[in-house]
Amino acid sequence: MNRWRCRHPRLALLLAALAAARAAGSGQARADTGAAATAPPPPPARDPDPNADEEDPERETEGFVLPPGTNIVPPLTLNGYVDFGFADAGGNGTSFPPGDNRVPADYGVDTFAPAVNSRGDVASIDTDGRVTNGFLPRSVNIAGRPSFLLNVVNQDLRYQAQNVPVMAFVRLQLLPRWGGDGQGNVTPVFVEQAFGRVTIIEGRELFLSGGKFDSVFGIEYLENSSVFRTGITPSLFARYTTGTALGVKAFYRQQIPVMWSALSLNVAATNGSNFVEALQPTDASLTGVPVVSGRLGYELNLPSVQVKLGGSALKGTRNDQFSRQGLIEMFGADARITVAGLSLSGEYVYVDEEEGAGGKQTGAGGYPIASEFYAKGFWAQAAYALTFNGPLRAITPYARYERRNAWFEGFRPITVARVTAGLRVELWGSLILKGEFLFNQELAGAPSVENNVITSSVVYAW
Amino acid sequence: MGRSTARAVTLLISGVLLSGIGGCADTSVDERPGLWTLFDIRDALNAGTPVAVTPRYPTGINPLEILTPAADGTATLSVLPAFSEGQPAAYVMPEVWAHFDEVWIQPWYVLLTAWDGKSPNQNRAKTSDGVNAPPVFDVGPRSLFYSPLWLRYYAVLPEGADAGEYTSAERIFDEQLAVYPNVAWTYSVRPPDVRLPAAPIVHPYLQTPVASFLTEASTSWVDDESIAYFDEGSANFTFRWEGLVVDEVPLYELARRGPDGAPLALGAPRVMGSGPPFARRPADAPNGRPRFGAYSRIYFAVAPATAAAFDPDAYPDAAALLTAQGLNPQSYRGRVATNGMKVSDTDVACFAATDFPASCTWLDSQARIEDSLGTVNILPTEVTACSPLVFYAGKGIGGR
Repeated sequence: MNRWRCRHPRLALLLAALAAARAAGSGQARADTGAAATAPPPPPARDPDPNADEEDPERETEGFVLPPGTNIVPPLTLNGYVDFGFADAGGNGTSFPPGDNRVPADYGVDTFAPAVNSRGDVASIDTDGRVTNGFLPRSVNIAGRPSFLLNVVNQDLRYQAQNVPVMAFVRLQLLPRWGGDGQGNVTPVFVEQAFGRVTIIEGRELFLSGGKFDSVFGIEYLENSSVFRTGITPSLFARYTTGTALGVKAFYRQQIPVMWSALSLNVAATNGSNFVEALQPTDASLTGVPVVSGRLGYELNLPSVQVKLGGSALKGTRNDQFSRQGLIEMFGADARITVAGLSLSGEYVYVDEEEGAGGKQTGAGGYPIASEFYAKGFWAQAAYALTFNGPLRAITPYARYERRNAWFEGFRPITVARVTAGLRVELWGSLILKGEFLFNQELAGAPSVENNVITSSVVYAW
Repeated sequence: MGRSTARAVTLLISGVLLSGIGGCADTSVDERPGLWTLFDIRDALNAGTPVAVTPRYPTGINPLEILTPAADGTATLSVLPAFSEGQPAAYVMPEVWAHFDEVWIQPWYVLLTAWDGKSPNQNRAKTSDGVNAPPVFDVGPRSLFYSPLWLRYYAVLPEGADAGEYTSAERIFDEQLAVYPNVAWTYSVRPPDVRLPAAPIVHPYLQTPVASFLTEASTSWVDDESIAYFDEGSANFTFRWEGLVVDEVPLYELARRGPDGAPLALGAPRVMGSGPPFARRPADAPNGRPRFGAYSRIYFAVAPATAAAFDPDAYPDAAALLTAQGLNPQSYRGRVATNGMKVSDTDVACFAATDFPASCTWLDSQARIEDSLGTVNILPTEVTACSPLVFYAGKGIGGR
């Protein structure tokens, strides 16, 4: 519980109102993930991982005088952003090679490769009538035609109670899409996050959350937001690690000042894994058994160098089928180094899904078979932020390399790689311009196909 | 992080959290889809366990029905007697599925050196030893999406290409070979030691030859791996282009009600339907070659307590009547009549009647079964099979 707020609620309200007015006047770009609780994240250009403090603690102050620079957040804050883009995918916008009539169509290629936006939506998943089995991303249905896109309209609502250590957060996303040939326009509303969080012990970084919240696996979920993501498109592994999940989680971090270090543990019990919602339903447990996941992290926070290392694991029953015998197991390792404007990050991910039963259920519908599945690989990214004063805040060139090996039981293993290169420009602290090239490569097992992507994104945040 | 370390972390976290949750005993019914190819059926034969045991087909299928073991450890594919459209038939059953609502055709590539739309097989690519290059396919028997029901394609190799190097479908796509669709075909992959019976292959009752197209080959290619297969004929099933879903027909397992009301199979030859249940679709069999049967779902056809299968050895007088009418008694062996057996004093056992076989109400065609038994006595199971007919309308099916 925040002591000064408790003792002086009227003063807190006054300060909150002043802070709100200041925030509104500044138009500062900010999209609270709920993980970064109170302090606005630093500009992404200066720290490509602006949400790096996964569970930023309540900053406690003594007495009535706030330290210089303390940012007061009003009880209720409304943040959000619009992500507008233009994309052009090669070929027909899919990874399906012409003339390939294997069934299911989505087992022998990487359908997630031609991504066009920060949600990982691809240009197309049109199989030309062939059966698929639920290993598909969401699609913007532009095929190989260049198109403007309204990728996301995102609205966050955060309420920090004044007299109790409770915070509530809701993130709603509107996704205006053309539904495909004959399907008309559709604009689904996603409740991306909705949770309450309790600070258990005053002065400790120990938080309990319940609801629908960010993944605890790995680090890429920290960039789910278009604002925070350095580039535009997620990695080839985001499908496994960045989906939000419904359940409970606990976070604890122990600072070790003498070592300039901290240890953190983030654990969750949720309905499903952290696969993206297109691959599994998140809003109900199909087996009655929770999936447990966690990440153990170490941070070294020197004045000029920041190093963060983590190991993640997940185990439980697959939530895309009904059998408690169909298990999923994942583990991963991640690392981030930030020094002098250069940010290096990377992650290794391993996924092992046993065969399920009773058909396959995904966020996109039902499919025949919950196949045994494996995936492994890594991504590594480098970004260098050049910062400026004035309207031009930062320019960040970045590049990412990733390699994914995956196979469904009985199908030829496929190995794909991708090189992503792009540029991020920040203006006035509230406008972000990004441009990106994706060079997709089918290295083995999957037929080579024209599925490179050029995409861009303009993110305006409020 | 090493895998062992990661697993330790996984187990630690799982243990802590799951121990607090409790109540996680599995109470759900395991209905995971199953596929038994000849590899699996041979294993089941060795183990002596049935395949495709499901809630609605609790006995499953005895692998001894599908394969005939030999003393040297090999096995041969059995030809199973059946009836269809009121006539003796026979089929083989190289694959069985459980809990599949539908199965799909997969592409099977035959390699050519040049395209001739009128006679494509004249340009079959040859290997260095002068034989036809083995076919190539991509979805192998370890996948639940494997299907012995194929759409054959012709793939035209570049001029001068070595056909022996084309051992995966991936290469066909990578090189963007010209590909032309052919017709539906049934091929079943097999272990090398599962063979066809010695020629001539005959109907088990009539002892007359079955289809000549039932052959075996030693090599096809899937993902650069050689695999043997049986050729069970072309155009013996239909499919929908939308989704490439194979049409199924009923394969009736004649049964009586057991003490608990559940069907008890009579053990008689099954009856192959020719269209969806109760569709009243005429059999599509131009020139005596049925375009159905290669994919079927087993239905229990529950007959009355008086139903019985005819055995000419048990009813020599009835057999003599058949012979007198110019009918082969073996063509009636196993044929089930609803009134074959006397249960109560008022019943008339048609096998003993002087006007046999007209005295019997036979259950030897889809129409007769559906007319006689009605919807309440026709019960679908979760079991489907690759069941290409090799004998139809009382004779071996000719040609391809």
